[in-house]
Amino acid sequence: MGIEYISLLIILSLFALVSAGVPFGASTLLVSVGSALLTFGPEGLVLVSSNVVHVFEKYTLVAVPFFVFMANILERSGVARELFDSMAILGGRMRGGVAVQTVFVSVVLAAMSGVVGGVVVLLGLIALPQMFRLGYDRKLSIGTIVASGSLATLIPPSIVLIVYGAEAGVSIKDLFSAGVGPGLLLASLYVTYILFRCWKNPSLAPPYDVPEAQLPFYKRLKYLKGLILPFLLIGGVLGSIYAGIATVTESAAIGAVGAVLVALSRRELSLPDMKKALWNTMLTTGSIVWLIVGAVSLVGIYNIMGGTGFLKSMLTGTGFDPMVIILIMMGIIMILGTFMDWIAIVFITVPVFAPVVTDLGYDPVWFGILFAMNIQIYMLSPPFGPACFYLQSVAPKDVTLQEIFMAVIPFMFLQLIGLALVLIFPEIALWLPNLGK
Amino acid sequence: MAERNGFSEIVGKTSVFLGKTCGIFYLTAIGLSVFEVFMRYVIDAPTAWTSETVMTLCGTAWLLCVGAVTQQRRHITVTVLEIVVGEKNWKRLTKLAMVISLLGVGGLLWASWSPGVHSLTTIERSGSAFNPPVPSFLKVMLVLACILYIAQLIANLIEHKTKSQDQHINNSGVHSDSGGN
Repeated sequence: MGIEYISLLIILSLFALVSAGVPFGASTLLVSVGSALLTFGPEGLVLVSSNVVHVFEKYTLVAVPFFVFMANILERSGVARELFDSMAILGGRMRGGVAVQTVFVSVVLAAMSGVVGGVVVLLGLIALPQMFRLGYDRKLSIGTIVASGSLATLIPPSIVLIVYGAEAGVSIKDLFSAGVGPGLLLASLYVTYILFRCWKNPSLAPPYDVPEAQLPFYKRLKYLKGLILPFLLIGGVLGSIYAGIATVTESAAIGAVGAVLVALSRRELSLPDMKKALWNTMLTTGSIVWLIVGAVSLVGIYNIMGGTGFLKSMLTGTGFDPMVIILIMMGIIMILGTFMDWIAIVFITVPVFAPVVTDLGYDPVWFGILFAMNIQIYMLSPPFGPACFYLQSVAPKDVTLQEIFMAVIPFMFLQLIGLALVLIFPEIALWLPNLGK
Repeated sequence: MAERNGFSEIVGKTSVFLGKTCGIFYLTAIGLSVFEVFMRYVIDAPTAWTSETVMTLCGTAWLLCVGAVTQQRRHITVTVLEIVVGEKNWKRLTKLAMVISLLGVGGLLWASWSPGVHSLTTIERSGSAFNPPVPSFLKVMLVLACILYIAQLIANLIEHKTKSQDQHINNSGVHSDSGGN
């Protein structure tokens, strides 16, 4: 059987298994063991186990549980609520002010945690009730939270960028710097959109009503103190990476210890809280790792069978313009996003795409950012849209999933505009990493 | 009932216990990483052993947590079909999915068995200055993790069967107060 038929068979069986509700990890394991047995016989199984063992030696992935733990501790502390309250007061009585502050708060939270779920849940608990109480347009409020919460895929320390970097062999430090420009670009697109909508129809966003918001601006400045702790934490994590003091993994550990100290100093961390945070960290990381195990084992076998080379030549052999090939790859990621989890997408596509990108003469750091922006769209889009599910899990009961999916549509357009801009002007992503060289 | 659930209860408790242990591993790894930064940049005396120890602690945690992740049904799964096929059929599919998972993990156990056993006789070391026998250790742990994964999947299957039987009794109205357990 030729590699093209084997490839088709692998895709079809994977699709069938995954849709039937078999976890990704187990599906990919079964397909890889099956492919190894059919192609190489029982001797091929050694390849499966040797690929799998390497997952447990990937040092870059160690940053994942550390950052997840940090996010879990911060979720339990009142840092985020204080940050939101201070920012909202600073924004004063501007129309749409609370929504705009929500975007700013998400950027800060994203820089503290790197986990989309954590940021969306926090905003859903803190910002959504405020906006609903003030009588904000429901769709505008929901869309703002889901979209800006997903900025955590781009803004360092993003878990998506860590996993991409680990698989593509690209410097995570460079990816982190490259994520800043596009992350802020998207944030400003969201702010512009919110302000435009409120300017056209002021009733969408009534002004903030707490008495402090009516104080003169210079008096409101004292509320900047709510920003001190978050910025100290961000400074500790990113500062230690860029000052060359610590590796990404070590800086994640510094962030975790910092988060614990912050929570302790505010008397917001009990022993049961700590246990719960560790338990959740174990579950989240475990579910990620056991998906990676299956994906790595399948891709490893497929590579030895000549599959990766086949896909690579199929992409580059089309004779299309390099930019068209990049667009095709983006399209494939989007299609996979309709039935696959992002981690599976990274481990299945990156081994094929990353070498093609380099061969075409593009910067894999830039592609990593496009990748993350694409994953960000996937975070919002039906039928999975994990970010939408995260919000629904904490939103008031009358907020349905349909309402959330409808609310995010304008923001998905903004994400597409952002993606197109970074595609056409790679400098938006690359200026910052290039600055350091 | 207690007898029938004996196996799944023991496996479940083991999985949860190991899952909690992973938390301690992560905390230790975090502490060691910060310690290494301190030794390197404050005292200027980098250690030769922390990064490999941190890696091994995390690697071991990733292997040992598989029971808890399975017990809590937290493996990343697509559940879109549930809406299409209805609750009853989805339950059947879930059972089938568990059996298929067993096959997949069984395959991994088969694949990792002989490298694991071989590691017990020929110790493989990492080759660094610290040179711990990590490669051998991980190969053995992978075998143990697969066994734990399989045991927990079987426990989940037994639980699934017990639950659907209880539900069946409930629905038929024969034994209406069995829902309390």
